[in-house]
Amino acid sequence: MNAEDLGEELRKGSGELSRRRKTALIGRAVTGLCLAIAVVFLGLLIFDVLRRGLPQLDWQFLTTDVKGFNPETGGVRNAIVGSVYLILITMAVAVPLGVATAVYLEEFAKDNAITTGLQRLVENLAGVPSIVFGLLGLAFFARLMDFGTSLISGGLTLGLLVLPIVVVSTQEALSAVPDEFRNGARAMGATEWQVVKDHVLPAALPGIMTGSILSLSRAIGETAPILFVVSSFIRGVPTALTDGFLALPYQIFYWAQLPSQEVQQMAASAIIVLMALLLTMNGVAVAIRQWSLSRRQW
Amino acid sequence: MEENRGLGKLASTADDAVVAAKRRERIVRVLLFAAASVALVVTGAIIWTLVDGTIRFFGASGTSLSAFFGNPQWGGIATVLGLSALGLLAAEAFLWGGSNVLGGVTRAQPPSLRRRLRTRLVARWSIIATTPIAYAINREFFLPLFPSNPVVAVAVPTVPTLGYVWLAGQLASEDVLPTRDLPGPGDWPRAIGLTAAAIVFAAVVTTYDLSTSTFLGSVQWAGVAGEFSIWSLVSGTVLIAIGALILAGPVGVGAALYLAEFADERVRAIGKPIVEVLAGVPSIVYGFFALFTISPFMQEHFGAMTYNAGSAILVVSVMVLPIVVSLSEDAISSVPGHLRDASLAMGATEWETSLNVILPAARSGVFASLFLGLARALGETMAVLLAAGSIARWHLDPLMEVQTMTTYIARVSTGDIPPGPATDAAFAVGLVLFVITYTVNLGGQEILDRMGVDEV
Repeated sequence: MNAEDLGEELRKGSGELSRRRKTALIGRAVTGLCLAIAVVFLGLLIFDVLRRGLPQLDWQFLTTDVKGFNPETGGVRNAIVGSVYLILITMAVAVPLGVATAVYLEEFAKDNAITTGLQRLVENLAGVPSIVFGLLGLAFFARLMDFGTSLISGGLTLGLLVLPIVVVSTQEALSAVPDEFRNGARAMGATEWQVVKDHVLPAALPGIMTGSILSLSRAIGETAPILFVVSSFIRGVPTALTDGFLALPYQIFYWAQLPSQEVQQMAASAIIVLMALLLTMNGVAVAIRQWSLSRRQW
Repeated sequence: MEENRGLGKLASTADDAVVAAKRRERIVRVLLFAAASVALVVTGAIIWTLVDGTIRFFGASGTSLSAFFGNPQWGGIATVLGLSALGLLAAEAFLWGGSNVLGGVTRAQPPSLRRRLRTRLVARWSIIATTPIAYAINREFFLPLFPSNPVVAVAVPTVPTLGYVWLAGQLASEDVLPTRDLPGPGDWPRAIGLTAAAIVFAAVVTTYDLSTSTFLGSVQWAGVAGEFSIWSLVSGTVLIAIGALILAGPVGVGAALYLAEFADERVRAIGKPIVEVLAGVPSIVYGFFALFTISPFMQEHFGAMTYNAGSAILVVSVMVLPIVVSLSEDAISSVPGHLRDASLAMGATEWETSLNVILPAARSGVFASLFLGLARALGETMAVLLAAGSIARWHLDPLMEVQTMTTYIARVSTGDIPPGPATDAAFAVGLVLFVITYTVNLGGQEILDRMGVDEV
């Protein structure tokens, strides 16, 4: 091969290389753009809600009850209280059951078909649409158990909704505990339950709490499952489990549908309140995680 | 002597303690198992609720099954197509781990292998095509001749099925391919069972449909004229879920690729949490944004209706995005580094490596993420309820109002639909929705479960 041919080859090669480099750059830019879309959308969403909702968000809005007529003169106090009560019931239902399920599946269950089946059921339950849980709540709690449109119906429904999420996050926390903890305790003659109760659970507790709080923060924003059991025209704060209730996300939905623009803006304010609640819960969850990471024993 | 007695006492106390501890252990074990079976109870309760409500609906309203699933125009064919595609995708996942839903053809493979894989792909997917074709042939040509003829429905898909099984055997017996994921003779029983199920399905649907009087029946739904046909809700659901997936799929996989392959540490540290925040925003907030911000934009620039499917598609795609991004990213990052290094060492650019090596290697995870995203989109309620309106009509126009299965159920609860059979119909619709989402989810989970086995 003489020098001229070689030069020609090289030129061709470098031309192709620069073309391929250009393609690589474009590809990189396009995928970057994909991520940017998500970020920009979130930014727009937050900006839009703040722009609409901030002006009428004041102390009075937070401390006045929802008004049926002329809602623009009222606030969201009982909707907030309703949501908080709902979450407390949800927690009472989902966390003990979910943690127990996870402990069984992760620490006690034998590796057999029943265990695999239960595991699969839990995972798939997490994928059932929330509105189907609404139907379940209506048929089971409101009608069959005769709780009607009440706080307890809503709380139980949401509890079942987040149960699989609590299970999965607890399982993750449990499996993060190193086996040395278990084997050490076993070597000292502890029974399986003593191993779990005295060593695994305390070590996994921060993880379980973080997961549970995150699951509950999903529950507090859910509207569809409680559509059937919420009471749109209830006044005041529920005082018993069987009282009707209002919830923040439902109120947003209700207001967003009314024709008055002023009321629609109030829906935006309610969104800000809801998001603030969510942020607080997530903040607590993250704080627990950081704290536990800093003093983790393994 | 004295000491011995003390020791004996001590030992028996210890024995008692051990016995007590063991008893406690048994009790705890039973209690925990009881708690764990709650998942079974809840699933059972959901199914019972839906089936019970469905039976009540069909009993009280006098609607026949065939009218409920009766077909407006091409609704029947489109849905049989959709369902058989769905069934086959799920079956793919069960049979081969789903790693090669699109045939496993990549540019990295030699041409001869690629040709084989494509042939197999065509054989496989032709089953999907033949089911609705059988249905259409039955409906359009044989109905006038014979009142009901499940024979044809069975015969038509049988041919490609046999071809498929034969091809599977051929490919496996030649033993030239280094892949385990090609079907072998051991898979025949499952493959035959699977296709038999598809054929029975086609036969049942066809026979049902052929025996109805609502042949080319009316398109309206629910409560208005006492007529219940689910197709107009199906069309809305399909429009929004598939539309959202078409938008979120490429964008999500692109974002995942960027996060896993190109982004530096700082961008990752910001980008990942932001995508996760998108998952945490309640759906009602997305609905609000769609109704008051996206919809006016759509009206102004595209001449959409106040309530339109397009704005719902947009927000649902953003809601699906986090699932697609995080699962795909997991899959992409778990591709072994030596594959990447080898490709780079051969002189491929980073982009070529990602496209020809990384993505093909991560495809099971990517498909799983799309499955789970689809399930999420199918079940989304509040955002769609606020944005897409409540007119149930058979169309696929994103600029018009639609009603989905989920929003129909929600409308029942908010009292916009008069009590009576139309309310009970919510349970029947819920049952259909439950079956569809459960199937899609199962497919996705199955792929995820098998991913470990399938890893390169």
